[in-house]
Amino acid sequence: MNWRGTSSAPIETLMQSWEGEDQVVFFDPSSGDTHLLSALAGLLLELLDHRTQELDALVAAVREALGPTPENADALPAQVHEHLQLLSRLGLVQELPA
Amino acid sequence: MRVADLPTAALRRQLRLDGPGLRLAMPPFTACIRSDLPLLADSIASMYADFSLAEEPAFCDFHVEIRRVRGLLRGFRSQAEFSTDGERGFVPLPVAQGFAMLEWGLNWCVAAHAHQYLLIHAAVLERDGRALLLPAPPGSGKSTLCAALLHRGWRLLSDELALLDMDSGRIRGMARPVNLKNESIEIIRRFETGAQLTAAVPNTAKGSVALMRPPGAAVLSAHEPARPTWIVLPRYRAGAEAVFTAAGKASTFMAVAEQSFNYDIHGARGFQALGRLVDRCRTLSFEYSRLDEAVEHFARLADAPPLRGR
Repeated sequence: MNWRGTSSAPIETLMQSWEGEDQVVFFDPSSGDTHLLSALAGLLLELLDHRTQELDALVAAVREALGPTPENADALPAQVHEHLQLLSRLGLVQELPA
Repeated sequence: MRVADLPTAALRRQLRLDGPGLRLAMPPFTACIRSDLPLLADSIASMYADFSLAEEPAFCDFHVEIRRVRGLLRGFRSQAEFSTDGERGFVPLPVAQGFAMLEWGLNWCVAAHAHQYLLIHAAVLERDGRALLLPAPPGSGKSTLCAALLHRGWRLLSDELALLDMDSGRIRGMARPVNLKNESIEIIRRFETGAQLTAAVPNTAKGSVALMRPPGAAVLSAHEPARPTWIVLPRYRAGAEAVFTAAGKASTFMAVAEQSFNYDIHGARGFQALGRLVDRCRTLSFEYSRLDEAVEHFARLADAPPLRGR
């Protein structure tokens, strides 16, 4: 299954993050809502900004971004999937057929 | 001309419903006020003494009236109602609440119309050109803390409404009277014996309410904006030791957005302006119970060297 961000605006205008923080804020121009999201959700939105990616590729990209040996490496695919489901419910990403 | 320079009889004439209106400058706005409540003139003369009056025919942003209600209720329980541009906005309230109603009505006028600003429900004070924002929901001790700080070296911009200029990033306030409620009234009377407060009006929707006259120096400087430097989320808790705690930028962003009257109207522009505001400020939570202790903490905060990168 593939995933893609839904916004057409550049993500740097829609997301604010701060170094060392585990949360980001994201503005959805289609709904006008502002969301407080985890840093992982923010990373996924960056990875899916104007791009379509498969789940496995996303997990690999997250693993690379988080560093060489994240403590919860085994749980990462499930976490990524869970976050994608959440972002999909918020309308910020969409699931596309492979 | 200042309100204090206007003889009482002239003030009453200007305020009359069939008069020219009292054109009160509360930078960056001017309000034209009319009323048939005699007590309102006394309260305005006392609480707005240092404010300037605009000359007729100066443009007025808001035309407001506090008018005694005519009809069956008159004589049974005297009431008054607030209207702006001829439109009644709120349910009538007892005449004794007339001045508080004027204050609430003026706040409403700004919150409902001044969308050239990002409007935040926050007290704002200034020191050395740097603005301290205290955004908080009612009951958090924001106005009490603000009333204490403005008597201890901080300039009042507002106890209620922060006006963020989204282009310059500067904050403005109107330096209008400070709204105190319930126990805060006596706490501030004891804290600063020189504070000038109206008589407490009981049984309002917010409990007992009194207004505190803003310092003259703050009124004279009301047109000067300040550079946002600190966002502090205050919380009164009985018996608590005063303490600052670092607050996350993202969670502070959401807290300020929740306290904004018009964040939703501005869309992406508001999001980016609020992001810049949070980005440039040191963000903290503050818990307190004793004002003396709180004031000392804020003095130390102001004296601390700025964090790198700001």
